Amino acid sequence: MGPLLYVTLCSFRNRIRVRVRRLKEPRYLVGAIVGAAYLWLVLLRPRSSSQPGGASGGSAGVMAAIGRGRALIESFGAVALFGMAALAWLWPGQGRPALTFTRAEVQFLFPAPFTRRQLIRYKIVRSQVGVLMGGALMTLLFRPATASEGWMFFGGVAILMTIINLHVTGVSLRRESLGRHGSAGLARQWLPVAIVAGACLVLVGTVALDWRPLASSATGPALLEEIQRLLSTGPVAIVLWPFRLVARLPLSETPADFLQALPGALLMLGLNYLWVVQSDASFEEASAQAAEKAVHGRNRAPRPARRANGVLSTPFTLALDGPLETAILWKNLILVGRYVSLKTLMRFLPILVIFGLAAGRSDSTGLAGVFGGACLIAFIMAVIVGPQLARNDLRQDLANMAVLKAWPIRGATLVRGEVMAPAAILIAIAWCSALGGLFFATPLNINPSFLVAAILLSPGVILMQLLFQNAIAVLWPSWVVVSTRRARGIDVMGQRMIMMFSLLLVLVLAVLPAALAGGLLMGGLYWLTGALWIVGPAVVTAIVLFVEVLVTSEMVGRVFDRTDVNAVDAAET
Amino acid sequence: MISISHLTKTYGTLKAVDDFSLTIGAGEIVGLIGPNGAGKTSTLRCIVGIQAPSAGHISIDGHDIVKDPVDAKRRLAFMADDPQLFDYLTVTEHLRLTARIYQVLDYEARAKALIEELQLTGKENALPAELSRGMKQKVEIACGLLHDPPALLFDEPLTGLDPLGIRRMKATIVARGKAGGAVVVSSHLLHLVEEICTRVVIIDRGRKVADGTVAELSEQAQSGGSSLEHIFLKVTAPES
Repeated sequence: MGPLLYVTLCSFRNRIRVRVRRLKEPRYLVGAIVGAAYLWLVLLRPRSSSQPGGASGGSAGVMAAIGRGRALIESFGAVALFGMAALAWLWPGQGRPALTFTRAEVQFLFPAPFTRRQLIRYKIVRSQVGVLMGGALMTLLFRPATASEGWMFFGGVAILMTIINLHVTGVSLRRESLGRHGSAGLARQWLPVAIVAGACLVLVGTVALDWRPLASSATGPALLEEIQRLLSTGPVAIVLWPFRLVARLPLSETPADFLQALPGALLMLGLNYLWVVQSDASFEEASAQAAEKAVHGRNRAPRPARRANGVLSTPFTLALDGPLETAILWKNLILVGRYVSLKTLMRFLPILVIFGLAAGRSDSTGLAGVFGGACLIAFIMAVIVGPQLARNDLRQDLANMAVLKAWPIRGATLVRGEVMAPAAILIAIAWCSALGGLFFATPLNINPSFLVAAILLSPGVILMQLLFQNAIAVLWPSWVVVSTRRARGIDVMGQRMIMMFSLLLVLVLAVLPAALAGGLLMGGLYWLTGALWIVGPAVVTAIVLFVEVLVTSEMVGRVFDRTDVNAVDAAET
Repeated sequence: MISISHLTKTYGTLKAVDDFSLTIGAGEIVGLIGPNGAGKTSTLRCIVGIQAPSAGHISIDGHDIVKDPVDAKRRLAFMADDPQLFDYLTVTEHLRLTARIYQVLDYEARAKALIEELQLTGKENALPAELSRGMKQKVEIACGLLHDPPALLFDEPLTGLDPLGIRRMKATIVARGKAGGAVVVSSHLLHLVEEICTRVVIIDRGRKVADGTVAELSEQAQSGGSSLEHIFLKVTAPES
């Protein structure tokens, strides 16, 4: 056995051992039970005949659906594969190395007497573990009716994923190689890009030329039929041919179909493999740098912009005296200012647009309705989803727990300071969104009082959720992801599910007293005046919530004071 | 200044520190040495309140680290062997944050002096990712010295420093001792301990096995040699 294969097999075996061994700890055991139960429910549970695709109803749902629309799915699959390949060429990942090595791999393997080709082969073999696991999971999810159908699907998906993997690696290596050949290399880089761009033009041009018949298709099936015709004839068929060879394999209906499709897919696999292993790209430097950055947890962070004098800007100047919470707020706001780019925020734009359009259309209120709908969605996201995403608090600081514990600060003060930055950002987003909603309230037919109430209540709800998230970070630090190296496994999946449901439950319980106080006042006012008062009870609810927030911060702070830094699992930091 | 009384720290069934007592007065520089896994870092972490003692008491300038942690920590500085800096704060921002936390009102003058003393000039606006390990160590030490604490704990302070940095660091530690600070230096570099420490404590398997000046330890251990290395090897030799 070669040393590289030995490393691969030992790493795989030891990873399984570690995961099995950690089940001795109750938190992982409980997580594993919940995770396994979830997987069983989703993937393995026999379905009743009343459900679509039930076991007793013959073939399973997804595979049966594939059977009915095999040709069309094959075409769409080929288009998707073409899209992936085109994206890899036209929009390569910025600053990402062609091959990703861990720090240990860089230290042990790069100075060792291995050829570059051996290292590339090693990475390909390592990536196969993920490919096989992914293929197995997809096969379970798609529920093939027979064993042979299962094996065909698994084999097909595994080969398809391997080809994608190889092709993306090949593109990265090719780009790196050409980039190192100076201007001549950069000039040569244009040829494959031009070919891909040409292929894209063929696809887009065909759709544009055929737009009228496509748009005039009266029914869904007619539209699909027209799309299928377009994708399987003329120049588009030629462009998609190699991708169709690959997409066809997992969709095979019979073993004969599979064997017929196999040579084509294997040909694509072989060509991609040869292309990758023959690369002369010197990937070592970029991979080593990426490994170092990954260790320090900033592999995806952009470099912050500096002023002309080299100074980095800060949200405000920190005074030398004053509440200590402000110091922590300052520190965490700097993190947001330096590492959250506009690009990150733009990821949420499609969600807002889609939901905004849906809200606008459903009410037939035009553009104002669309804006109003988008504002409301942004408000809901900021209040409900935001506290889970904005992690510039203790969750981010767990890796520096020893430093925080050495500071002469009460735990409660620290906890309050830590949640202030994400709270300030989320409250600002929520309030701006609610004000936008207030502006467009008339077309959306929403009572402005409800929006005012939402503005009043949002800080308390956001703060309470942030406190719970931070409480989990303090109570069970190893359940919180504190670095870019995410822990994996069924047990970890189960832990996250438990955490999510517990958070929801605790939030409901926490908001209940405040809601009761507000509800009682609302009921009393209604009984006295006969009118439905919204804003007054919302003020009372907000005050009770704020008191609860203060009390909770004291409680979480006490837990923080007692927390041992060793509770932060070293293996997961 | 630093008083440790019957400190015990256990991790599950492992007793990392076992009934450890020590008093360090003002102006003393105590070298804490011991084999790997002897309990040095656990002891230091308990002293600064990063970890809670399983048993025993620790007080800093009369303030109990468990009962009165904020006042005790205000009088402390801990320079860990692996400098932990915030990825997104520059050198100056680290110092400013520390100044606010420890309420150092004459921050500007002190920070300037420390930046010069620790050869950080020109690196004021650098992020940790742009610094070498030695530079990060210096930033951590600058933060620790900023509030001029009466009790200082250094864990392997010379790791990653260049020869000039080592000389300056030794001078810094000695200066703090001479200025009346109670200093603890944990290190495997026995020549460093021998050179700068006024007293040496040897810890082995969680227990204090020797305490005194190098001359006293040599006498106690009857080591047959006056170097700290001889004494250390004799005192920590596995029992046959």
